[in-house]
Amino acid sequence: MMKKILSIALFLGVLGLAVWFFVKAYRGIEQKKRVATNIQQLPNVRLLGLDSTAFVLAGQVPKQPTIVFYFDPNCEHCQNEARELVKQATQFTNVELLWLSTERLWVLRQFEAKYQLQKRVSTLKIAQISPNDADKRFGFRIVPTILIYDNQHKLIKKFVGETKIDALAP
Amino acid sequence: MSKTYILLLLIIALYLFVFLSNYLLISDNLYFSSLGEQLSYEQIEKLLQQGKKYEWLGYVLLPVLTLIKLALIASCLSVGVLLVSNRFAFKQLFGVALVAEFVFLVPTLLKILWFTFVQTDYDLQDLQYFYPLSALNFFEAKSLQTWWLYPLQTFNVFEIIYWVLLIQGVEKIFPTAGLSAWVSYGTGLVLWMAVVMFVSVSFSA
Repeated sequence: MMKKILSIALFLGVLGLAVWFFVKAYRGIEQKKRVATNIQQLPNVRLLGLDSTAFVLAGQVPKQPTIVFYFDPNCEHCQNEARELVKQATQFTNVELLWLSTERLWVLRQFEAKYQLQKRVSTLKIAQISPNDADKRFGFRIVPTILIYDNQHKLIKKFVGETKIDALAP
Repeated sequence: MSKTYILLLLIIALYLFVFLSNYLLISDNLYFSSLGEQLSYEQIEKLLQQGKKYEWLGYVLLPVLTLIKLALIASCLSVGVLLVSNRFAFKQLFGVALVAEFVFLVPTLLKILWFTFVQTDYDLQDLQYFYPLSALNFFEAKSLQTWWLYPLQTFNVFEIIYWVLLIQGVEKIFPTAGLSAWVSYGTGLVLWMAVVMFVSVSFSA
């Protein structure tokens, strides 16, 4: 009798654990679907510039083609991307470039001091995004992730991982 | 033949298939054509160099991961058998799992043959998604999200043959424990699939 109870308990325990993982995975899939729909149009997200002023991501009028880079200052691939972008900055004179990170502002300022992205690419802005917006609004998981929007702020292409600059140019 | 020799034979066969896959199916050109849209020539070269630098790690891990897999399956079967026979026969059931494991060499061999002789024009995604006689063949694999791949690949003809071999092996040693072993292995497999799906959903972009 005891063995029967034990085997049923064990079976139900393992099955319960499997169900828990499936439910978590299902919720994750649903969240990804929501995010995939949200990012089809450049989301209205509040950001913080390097000078600590707040602005809205999709706020500029008239709309311009926009490329969103989600990055981390310590990520080697993002640093490569920054170096290459500075070399080919002329390709992006009519494109709004937004480098977003969840890192603290002083770390982002150090990144700017080292790579001089804002200084050398006039249409580029580095800004801090809240971890909640990065996760829930954009579904960012991997750095770098690059979203390319057209002049109507509709998503054209998404790249995950280091990407050659030529592939980003409009 | 003793279990040690069978294990050795399995590992040699796995090494052979990994070597054949790397030699016949994967080339630098494949990387350049598959990743060229996103990465520059230099970036792909760097990636290839890093891959070659750590290639040895795959060969070292192969027997370790095989042993872990066999041990986990033997544990599942052992628990199932324990509940009906009062005997924890891990060593014997490890042997059953070991023999049944040879079934999974067939899809690997079919994959090598398919891409060597039938579909000779392919990219990295084709290699990743291909699993002969699996549920994945009923879908357009490239349009699926990555987290569906593993469960759909796992539902395949070889998995069914593997189950049959496991149960037959268990029943040879413990004639009344077949159903119990089937349930315990099935539950373990469902848990494993749930974990893989959860991890791929959580960490995919």
